[in-house]
Amino acid sequence: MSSFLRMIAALLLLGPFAVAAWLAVTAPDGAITSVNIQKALQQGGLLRALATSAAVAAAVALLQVTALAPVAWWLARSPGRMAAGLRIALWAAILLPMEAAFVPLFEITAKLGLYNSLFGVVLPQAAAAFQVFFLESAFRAVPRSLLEAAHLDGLGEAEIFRQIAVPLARPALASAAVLGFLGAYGSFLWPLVVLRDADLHTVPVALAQLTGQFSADLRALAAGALLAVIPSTILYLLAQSSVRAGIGQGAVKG
Amino acid sequence: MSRLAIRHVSCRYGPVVALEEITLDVPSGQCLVLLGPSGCGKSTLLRCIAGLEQPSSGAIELDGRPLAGVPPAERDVAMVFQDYALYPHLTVAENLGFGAKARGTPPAELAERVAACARRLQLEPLLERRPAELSGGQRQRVAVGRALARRPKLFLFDEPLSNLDARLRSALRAELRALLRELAVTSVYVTHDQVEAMTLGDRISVLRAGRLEQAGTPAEIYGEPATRFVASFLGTPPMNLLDGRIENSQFEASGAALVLAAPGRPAGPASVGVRAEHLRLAAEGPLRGRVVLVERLGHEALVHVELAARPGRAGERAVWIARAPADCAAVEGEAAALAVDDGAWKFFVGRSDE
Repeated sequence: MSSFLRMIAALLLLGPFAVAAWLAVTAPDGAITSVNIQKALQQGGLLRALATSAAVAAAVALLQVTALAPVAWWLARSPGRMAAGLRIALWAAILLPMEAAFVPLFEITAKLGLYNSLFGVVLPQAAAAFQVFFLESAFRAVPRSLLEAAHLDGLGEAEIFRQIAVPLARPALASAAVLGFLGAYGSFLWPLVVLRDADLHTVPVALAQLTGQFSADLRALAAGALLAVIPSTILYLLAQSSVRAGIGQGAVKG
Repeated sequence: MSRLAIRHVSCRYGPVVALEEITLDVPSGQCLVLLGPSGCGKSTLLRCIAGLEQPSSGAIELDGRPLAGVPPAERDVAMVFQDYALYPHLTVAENLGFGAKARGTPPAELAERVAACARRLQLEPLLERRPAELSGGQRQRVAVGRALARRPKLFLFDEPLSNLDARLRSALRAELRALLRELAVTSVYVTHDQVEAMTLGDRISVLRAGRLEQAGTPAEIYGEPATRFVASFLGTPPMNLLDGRIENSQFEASGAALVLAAPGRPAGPASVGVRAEHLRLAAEGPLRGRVVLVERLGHEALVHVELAARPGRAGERAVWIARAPADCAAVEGEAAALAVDDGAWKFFVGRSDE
């Protein structure tokens, strides 16, 4: 029964992908062709968009992990009112969809002179409240006695964070980075709003340019979509090995 | 060499009193064992010494220097945790040297100290392994080594052997004892295991519900328990006890037919006790009853005798345990009398729950 359900789930997930792959490599008469892929690459400027998207997503992921991890650490270690206040603010930010804040976000971005720049795409996406909670729970999982041992060994709070907490939370940090990358890589609306020049377009925006107002070259679009999943797939395969569980084993009684 | 002084330390969490007015001294090079049941405050006191908890009042001094307000990192104390607390992402060698390195020990000296520690604790073949690849006993040895390599003024042990199985525990206990004697380091050792307390401690402090019940050498604590609690907590089997009252210099047990002269002792609720090794099965004795169980342990036998009830108080039932030779003739179900060695009776004044 469960294997049957799993097969259905796999079909549901892979079905659209298989259809897109089929459309991407065939001509309307069913013959195998590379014309669609060439079209996607030329018309949509997809190669450049792929590089842009990968850079933007990597920057978002890096910023999220490096800037939010200390915040999450502080939250995990501070029982005080300031932490409670920050927690409420972060929850509010999660509850509010980013789209709902587009108008003020756009104004701030424009005032900072970041309109039509990749920084303008990166910065708002890097401020992901969810990631703070995700990392906080990872830091909370570090055994208290380890932190106390480090204290007694002469380490300050910052050194404990750097030498103990970060290495122990590395699987979670890697997962957070992958999540951040995938989220930013696939985001469409914010880059569409902020970017004007075609040579700055990210992949989803570039793909959208392949569709006209009244018609769409579905085969070229499918080819573009197929190419677009390559970087995220590579990243996922690479990260799989670094998202190692069990690094915390043996620290305290097994 | 360094000495520790604890002066009137209390620790309260809201209405909960974890420690009350504890005063203790640990002379240089000695090992003080804090002994008591779970929740008696022994770990809290250790954490106060380490600086991981702040006492509500009182003072702790190390070599005459008050520790109030001194962060844990600057107290120069090392602690061995019950759950080892090894850094899982570092090798055994890195774990051993971690504290010394964090304190800026030069690399050459650091390597030397790690090597010496590994040699002393037989960890040399394991230096490149990570904690996850070690057995429980090996992990605990690394934890001890990490404290040793720091060369702190004071060692703190928080039930370091309680996660190990019985055989390993006794082996490590002997190792630790040899180590503490050899290095003559000032240390405070927390345990609820009386065997550890008796073998490792130069002095023992028995805690109960945040209060100090008795402090003394292991022999004093065992032989001359100051309170009924200490008497019942220490010893395997624990001291045999009977509750009762003293009236007119005479103790009368409530649970058994026993009347003893108690000259000069104040009237009121009291208990008497005798250690199992001071009881002998005899034809005549002040205590009569029936053998209910004979535990033959090979080198000795523990004879459980249900004492005859006081006339009219049949509901209460006291069972005393006597140590007897392995080949003693006691038979379960038969009547028996217990004789008590001279001077073996211990009196405890006050109610049994005090």
